[in-house]
Amino acid sequence: MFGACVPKAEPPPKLVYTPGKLVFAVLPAESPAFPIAARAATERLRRARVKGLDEPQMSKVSLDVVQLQIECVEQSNGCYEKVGKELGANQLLFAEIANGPRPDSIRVTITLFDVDGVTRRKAASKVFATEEDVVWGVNDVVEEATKL
Amino acid sequence: MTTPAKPKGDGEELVEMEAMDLEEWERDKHTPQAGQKLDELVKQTAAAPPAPPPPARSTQSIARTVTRTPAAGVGVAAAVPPKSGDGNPFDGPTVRNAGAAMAASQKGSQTPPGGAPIARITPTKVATPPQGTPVGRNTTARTPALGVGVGSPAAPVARADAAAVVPARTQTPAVGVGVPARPTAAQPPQTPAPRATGGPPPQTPPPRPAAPPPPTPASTRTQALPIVTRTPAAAPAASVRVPDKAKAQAEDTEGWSLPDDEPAKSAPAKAATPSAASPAKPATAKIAPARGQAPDPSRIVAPKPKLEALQAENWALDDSAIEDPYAPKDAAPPAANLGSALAGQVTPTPSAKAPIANPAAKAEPEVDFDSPFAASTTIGTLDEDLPIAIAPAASNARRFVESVSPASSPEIDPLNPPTLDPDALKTLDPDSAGDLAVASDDLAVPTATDDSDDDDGDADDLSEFPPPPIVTAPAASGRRNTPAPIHTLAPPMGALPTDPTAPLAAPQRNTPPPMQAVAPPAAVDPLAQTYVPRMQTPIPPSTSQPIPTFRPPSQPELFEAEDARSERDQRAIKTDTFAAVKPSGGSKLFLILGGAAVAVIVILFFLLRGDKKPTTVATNDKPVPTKTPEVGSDVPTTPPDNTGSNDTPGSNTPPETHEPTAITTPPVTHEPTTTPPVAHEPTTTPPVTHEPTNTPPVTHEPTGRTPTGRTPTVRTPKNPKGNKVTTTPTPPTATPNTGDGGAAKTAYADGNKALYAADAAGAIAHFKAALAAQPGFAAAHRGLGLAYSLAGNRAQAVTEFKSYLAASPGAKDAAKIQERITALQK
Repeated sequence: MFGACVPKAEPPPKLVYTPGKLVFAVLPAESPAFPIAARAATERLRRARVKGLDEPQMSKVSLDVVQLQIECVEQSNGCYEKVGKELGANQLLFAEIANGPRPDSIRVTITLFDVDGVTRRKAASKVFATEEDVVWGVNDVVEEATKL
Repeated sequence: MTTPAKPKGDGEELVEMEAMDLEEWERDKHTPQAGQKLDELVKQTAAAPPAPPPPARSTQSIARTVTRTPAAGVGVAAAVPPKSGDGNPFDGPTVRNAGAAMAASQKGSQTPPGGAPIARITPTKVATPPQGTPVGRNTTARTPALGVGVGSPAAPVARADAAAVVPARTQTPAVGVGVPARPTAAQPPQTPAPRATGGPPPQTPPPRPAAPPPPTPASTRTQALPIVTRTPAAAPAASVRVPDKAKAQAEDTEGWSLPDDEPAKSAPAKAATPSAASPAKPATAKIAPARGQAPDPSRIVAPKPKLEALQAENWALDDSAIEDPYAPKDAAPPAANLGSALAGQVTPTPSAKAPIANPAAKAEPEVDFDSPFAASTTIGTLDEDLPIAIAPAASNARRFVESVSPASSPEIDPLNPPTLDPDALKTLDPDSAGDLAVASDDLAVPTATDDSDDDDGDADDLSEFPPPPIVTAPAASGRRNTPAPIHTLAPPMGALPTDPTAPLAAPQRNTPPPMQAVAPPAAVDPLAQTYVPRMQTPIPPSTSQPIPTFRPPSQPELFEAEDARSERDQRAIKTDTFAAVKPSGGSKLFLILGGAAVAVIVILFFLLRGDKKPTTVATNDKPVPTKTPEVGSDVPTTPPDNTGSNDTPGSNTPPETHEPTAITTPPVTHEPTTTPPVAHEPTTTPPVTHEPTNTPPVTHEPTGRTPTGRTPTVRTPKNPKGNKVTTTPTPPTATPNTGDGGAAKTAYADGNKALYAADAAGAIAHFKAALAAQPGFAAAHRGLGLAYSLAGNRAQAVTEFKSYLAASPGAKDAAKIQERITALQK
């Protein structure tokens, strides 16, 4: 009885991955090299909706952080699965920002990943000439990736 | 010739002009020969055959030469071909109106006796009126700009296309040069035109003050601008609007004929300024203008708005009506066709006032131009259009009337509406028939057999009307707003005071009778039994049970019997609010117990916060009071001495409660993981460095123990510190240097949880604990780097990342970590 009143200084409970339970998580984009593009992509991902899924839960850390901590930094389905299980989510929506084929170009890839099926449900990628172009064009990429 | 001078001495830059010797001067001297190339160019552009080089003569700055002919003089051919010996093409006016010229040539180009209007258009020919026919202003041949004074006249440009006419002002070159006009050498000897009415006509003032009219020789009169066309006084055919300027001149030049008369007559009527004496003014306004045709003045009458009038005019017009416009009698101009003659209604000049050519009117386009503003160019068109335009309207209107008029539809007598034919209903679609059937059902008279008592408003209810009075017992109704009997709502009429000054009686309210207000005791009894222990009165879980109606009486004195009051209390106690608010004797005990419970909880709370320290205290076996000062970090000594004298010392006594011992046991849950007391000493090492105070936690407990528990506010500031002390040291205690990675991994996992939750501080603590558990734990360095990055501590983040790279240089994520380092160092 008295023990219930005692606060416990423990870390927040970790989300438990439950297969079949639809937890749609959106991971914010993070890119030290392209912060503007990452911010724009994150803002757009925050408003993303996927048919058949509830409103997404916005993760507080990026995909890179999770991947670093789980020591699985490859852009593979296996790593994405681990990320999803680490976060306790069944559906992941995240953005990957990388250098494009040209010097200043940026490639933005939006992925909707199914943790249970370990498959990419849909992914859209687009190369932007500049970082500023991402601000105006990432909307289309996200729409394409979330269009089922 | 100009060469940059050589720099002299000090670098001065001088431009030296070399002199030219005489030979060079002579060699390079060029006499300007104006006109050769220009002539060639003009010849190329001109369609006229190259004329023989004209003899050198003075420049002619006057646009045209005006030769006045007597009013009754012999007519001059409209288009006079240049004579073979006449080599100067400038001697004649440039022809522009080909249509008029053709019309005139067809007519024979006869100049009416009253004047000698020359056709303005002489295709590709320069017509110089032999008899001194004045040249129209706009027919001026473009004289090249030979203002130099040594110019050779260029070939005239014949303009048959009237649309390409350029205004005369732009074409009259060298007017302002100031060279006096001279009679053209190529012109035949021109006789001075005798005035028909007297002296020579006054010359028209030049349009520009810079070009005053040159002195006219006796034989030839040369006029600069504007050229006025004169028509014989007897020629009324020209329907030319008279410019204001020229109108005054026209009076003085009556009887004179100018070659532009005919074109002037062909000027559109809409451009004409209706003179006051013009009787055909409305006609010109109505009928579209036509160029090149002179109307029959007899037919130019007031416009007849009706079609018949136009038709009559059309049929009345024949060839006989078309006469020579220059004939002295009626001066009817020739008409090319009937339509154009009609369209070209021109204001006749009825009086002796000679019409004057309007320069603007001359610039009008071709004859074939049909003004869109014209009512109609031909009567036939009107004749054909009318029925087409009217007939459909009439037919439509008729159709509309037929469709709208009740006469056209089957008449329905409103007084005798037709009955619905069942057969007709069959023809209706099933939906509409169904609607009708439903409607008939609704309107059906209820039958006595329909005894259903539903209250749905249909026919069944009609049979029940009027409904029987509903008599319900208010007490049994269970409704709060039970309708009272009517007689209780309104006071009887006899109850009204007869004396107006008498005080009004208390208004009767719709109060239920006493029996209604008091609930039956049977409903209260069960509650009364449960009410005995008020503190534990069970509130019925559901309030949906019918509660007897209770209304506060408006006249409480009538109802304040003791038993009633008690009953009411018992009933009211049933409600949540009453039970929660109303104090009673038993609530004091409740409050005391509650307060004690709260105090115990608070005490336990503070005791449990320092759960680890008690153990250490036990191990240290040091006197408790001496350890109390550790509240802060470095102020240990002051509190202890003061505590002994102040109230807080009482806090030292609290051990009386002995609760800490009981509560400290729960921490045992943590301690099992921690190792024996030996492990506590290493706790002094943790980064928190609270241990230097020699097992401080004990100090928290005495301070936290307040007998009453009423001083939590005083201790709250200490709590955060206490929390920090308790939280941070826990990982180290949990992660001994046993070499086993389990504890480190556990701490690392906890750090990840905190990191994912964006709890930077917690993550840092856990990762540090992991590092403490396993110093060489590289992942903990990475986690710390991420946690510091999340917290905004870049320097620490970079340090931890570098530590990570140093610990595991071959990590897969080394590149990403390096990238983060680079980004953090920016």
